Amino acid sequence: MEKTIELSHEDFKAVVPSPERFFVEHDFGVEEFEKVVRDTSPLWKAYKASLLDEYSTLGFPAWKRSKLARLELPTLESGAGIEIREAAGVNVVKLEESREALEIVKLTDFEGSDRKFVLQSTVFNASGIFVKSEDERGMLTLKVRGRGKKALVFHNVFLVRRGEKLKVVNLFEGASYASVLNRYVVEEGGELSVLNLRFNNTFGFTNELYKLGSQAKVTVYNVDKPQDLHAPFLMALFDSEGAECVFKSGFTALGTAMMDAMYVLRHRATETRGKVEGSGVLFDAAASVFRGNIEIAKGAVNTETGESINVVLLSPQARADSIPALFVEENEVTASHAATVGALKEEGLYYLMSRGLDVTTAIRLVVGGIFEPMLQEIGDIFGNKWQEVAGNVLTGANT
Amino acid sequence: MRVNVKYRKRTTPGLGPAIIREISEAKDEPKWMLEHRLKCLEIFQSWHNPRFGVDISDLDLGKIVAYLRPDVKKAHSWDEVPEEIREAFEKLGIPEAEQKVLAGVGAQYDSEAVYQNIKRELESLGVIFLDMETAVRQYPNLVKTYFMQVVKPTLHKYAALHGAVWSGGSFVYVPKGVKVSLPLQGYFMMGAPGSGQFEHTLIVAEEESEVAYIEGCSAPRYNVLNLHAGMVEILVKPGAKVKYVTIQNWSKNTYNLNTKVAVVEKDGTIEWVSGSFGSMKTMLYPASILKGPGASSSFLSITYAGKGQHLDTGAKVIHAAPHTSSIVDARSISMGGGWAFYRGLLHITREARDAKASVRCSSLMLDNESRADTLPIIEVLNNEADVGHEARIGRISEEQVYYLMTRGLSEMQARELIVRGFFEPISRELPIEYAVELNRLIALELESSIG
Repeated sequence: MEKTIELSHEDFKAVVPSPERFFVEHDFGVEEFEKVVRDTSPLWKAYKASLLDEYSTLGFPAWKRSKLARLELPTLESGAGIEIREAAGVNVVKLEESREALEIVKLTDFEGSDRKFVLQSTVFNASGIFVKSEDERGMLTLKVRGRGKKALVFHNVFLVRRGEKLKVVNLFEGASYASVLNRYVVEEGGELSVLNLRFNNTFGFTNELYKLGSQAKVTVYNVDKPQDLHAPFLMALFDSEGAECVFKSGFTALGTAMMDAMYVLRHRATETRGKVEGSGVLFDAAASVFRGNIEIAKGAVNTETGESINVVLLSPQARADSIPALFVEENEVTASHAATVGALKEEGLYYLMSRGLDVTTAIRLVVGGIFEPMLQEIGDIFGNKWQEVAGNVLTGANT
Repeated sequence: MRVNVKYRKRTTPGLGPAIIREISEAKDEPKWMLEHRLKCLEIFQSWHNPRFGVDISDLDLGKIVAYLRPDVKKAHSWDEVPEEIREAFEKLGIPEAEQKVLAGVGAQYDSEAVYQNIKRELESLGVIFLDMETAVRQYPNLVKTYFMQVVKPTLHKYAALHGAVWSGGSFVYVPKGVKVSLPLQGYFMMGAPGSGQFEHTLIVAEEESEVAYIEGCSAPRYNVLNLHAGMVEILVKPGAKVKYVTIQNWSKNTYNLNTKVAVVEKDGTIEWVSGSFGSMKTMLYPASILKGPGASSSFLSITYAGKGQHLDTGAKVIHAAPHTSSIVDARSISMGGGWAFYRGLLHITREARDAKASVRCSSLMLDNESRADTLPIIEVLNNEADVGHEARIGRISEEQVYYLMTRGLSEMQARELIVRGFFEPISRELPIEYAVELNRLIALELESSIG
């Protein structure tokens, strides 16, 4: 299993904190399991059964920063489906009918933000999909919309085959509880672009693994506006030379909402390039935690990697935590990180207000400016429609 | 450097109330201090190990001798110090430095002070510079007011351990408005194998006063583990300024689990200058609590991790009042398989409006056998703070080496010069004798590693 944090060097190891755990009253168990495996293949059923015990004996993590103890787990919506739109140049099948997908799942086992959520999605997914690129113009839009007080649990696998291209838009909106697990494998020379739009979900836990072949190229845009808590976890594994991965995150949080994000770049091959960029705006008593772990293994020479985080606080009650970390065991590399936290520059606001704008509109304009470079890129890759949707999520126009 | 020293008192290895009573009795302490020690022992025994940092599972406290009293009388002149101990300090240049650049010196061998002296004119201004035991006896009320008030024994397991077995260290008290122009120095040596050193340094700088304190630490190498769990508490009253300089060069069989905290009141300033070179495993995060409006802190550190070393060091800054400011400049060098880990916390409270903070970490890796990590945690709880952070990990640029070689330097000299340049901001802060010593140390380490 790919652990999230492993700290050792020669004969030394460091202490890695492990969270305290708690159990919820009606966690998923055998009853839910029987429901979701009704239509799965025997191989998949056996695999899921092998993880059920581990899931049942593991409590939810009592993350301190996210105050997860208030978590409520609603009943499982086992019949929920993913709406598939704009599919072109891809082959899509039900995940748990595919033997190939199961092999990929076994090869990409990982811990994620917490093992509990990865197991939850793996065991209790009922309608996830397996997507394979078929040529150089693969495109796919996936939509999930929450319905009532139900838990939505998904597990999807994506394979970009050698030299092929795929663009994916994931839209996830309005769920009271969502646990989403996506595994992406990009083979040699493949290109993958992903736009994740996740907003107005009460509790959201996303775990994504990106496994990159040689010269593979991955760009991911995360656009977030949580209702209560969203905890996205993205990990890139640079296992072959020349791979490139960029994670870009834009988030807005209002009220008492919280973003608790973690991005991991694990460089273990030569000549790889990685980047994490985060921009966030916090209103009211909203809070964010932005963790970026960049790891460079011994031998990963000529790695170029870095991260930057910028968070703007728009209220005296807001809180921004930034934890950018570098773990480096190779010296022939370029690695850096930077973070800033601050207020909006008042001069900008005054200027706009002196031109006749009210304060709300002025703030919206300035906030829009913070996300503008990322929105431009989204437009270039996914088209104007998605640029507009992402812009509306981030500047609050959809609330 | 091994010294043949006789001991008047040596507790049996391990810990328990009986040993604590033995230590307290040997020091002829007031009752409140014994009670404090016993309370700390209870906390220590019920507390868990830190859930981060270096692995200390192989540290067997049952084998550590908590208290070792050399069979010597405390001297006020180096001539009175027994020859074998004096020689050990002479090799470090302490008596010579005292004459030239210091206002006072305290020297500790294992658990007790062997030398203490302060310039007369400072004494007449009311400055107190005493070993901690003497201070407890001579100024019981003053010490009781401040002792372990800045660092509570519940802060972590080793703070509690320290509270139970502390011995030695310095007490510095600078009255209102007094500016001590030359630094005071405490030098701590661990001489015996399998021992622990737990010195306690308490500095109280009254309003508008100024003082600088230099702390040096070293120990010879033995095959068994040593433990250093010292504590430094600094109280900077309004408008006062304290500079605390540490050069730590414990032998590479030492666990260095040290706690240092300064509380800074209105318009006060704390300056930390910290060099960590020795020890096998270190956990050290000097903390500045900026409690009063306008308080400021600066933290400048160099951590050097060579073969067989895992040094987990960093800084904590808590901005708890408006208009406070802080700078952290943390540098590390790892080479020969060493592991340098920067771990920092910057916390800006809701009240700390208009706080300004900057954290900068740079790591130089001299080979690919070593490891350099940085983990800064930044927490901002109000929207009127200005916080910036940057970090960079890299190697010596071959272009720079090549350039210097074209100017006539050998490759070794070129590398040494670049490393020295990386250290320069810290060596600049040291008295010249110490800066020279630091450069010699760098040259020695570089030679043994890449020469």
